[in-house]
Amino acid sequence: MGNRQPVNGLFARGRSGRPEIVLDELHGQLLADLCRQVIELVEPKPAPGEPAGDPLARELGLDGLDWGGLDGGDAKPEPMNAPDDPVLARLLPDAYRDDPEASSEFRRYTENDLRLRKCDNARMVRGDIAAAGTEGHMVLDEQHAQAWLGALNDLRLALGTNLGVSEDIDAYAESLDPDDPRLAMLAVYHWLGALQETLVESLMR
Amino acid sequence: MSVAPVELEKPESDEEVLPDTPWVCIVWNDPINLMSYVTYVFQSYFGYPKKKAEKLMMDVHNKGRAVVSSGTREEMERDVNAMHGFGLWATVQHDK
Repeated sequence: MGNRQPVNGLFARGRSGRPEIVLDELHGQLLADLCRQVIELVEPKPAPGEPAGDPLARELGLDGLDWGGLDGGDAKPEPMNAPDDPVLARLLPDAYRDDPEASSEFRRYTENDLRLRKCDNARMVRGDIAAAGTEGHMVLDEQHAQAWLGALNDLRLALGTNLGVSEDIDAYAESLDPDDPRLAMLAVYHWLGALQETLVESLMR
Repeated sequence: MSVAPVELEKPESDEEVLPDTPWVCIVWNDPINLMSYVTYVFQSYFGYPKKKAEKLMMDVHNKGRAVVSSGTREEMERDVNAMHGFGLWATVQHDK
């Protein structure tokens, strides 16, 4: 041995020069489960009562686009507002601060694709964990490292928004009762932060 | 005190036809994103050197926001879209 081995549950730049990690079964399952929850939340869904739409159009991000202009129709499309769910609103934010109309227009052309990209990232992480089996050793190439970065960030945004964390995380933790169930979520949030931090470190040249 | 050159008030719709007024991509502070990650995104997506990326990240952190790029409206929408992909909170704004 003698060589630096990746510590359980954190990334390190391995001998390959790539980020490496070993996740035990518990941590791997936890991460895979969190990714599944993000996929369920973010995955594009047809509006209730509407047909599911053309899968190819959805894949290409063309679903929900206003084709009225092409056939001369001038019906105004329904505005697409930021999601009501605070976590979704944080994952899919408005692109214009004080211009709801421009935000809605931007959302119409980009939101579906953004949702698909986020799902792809989370799926790739789940796939890597599954492929690593019980040994849990993973070496990430560039594409997988980028997917992990994006997915870890989405998980932290989701958890952090749910918890209502503030910049002073220690003060936030101290404000909670010792038997507050949010403490367990906060521990996961901390771990995800350490995972992401070590992944960034192992990618920085 | 100096006097600014007289500027006629222009109707809003004129903005669209002025080619040289830039649009900007603004990244806003939030309590969740890691400072190292934000720096990494500025380096990897915009290709900024580490020093510039760190300065922009510190501006976001300390001042609450930073202009991270400027250009045409289409370019800025592309940048904001990319920032949202990375999970940063970014908006497009006309730099009047």
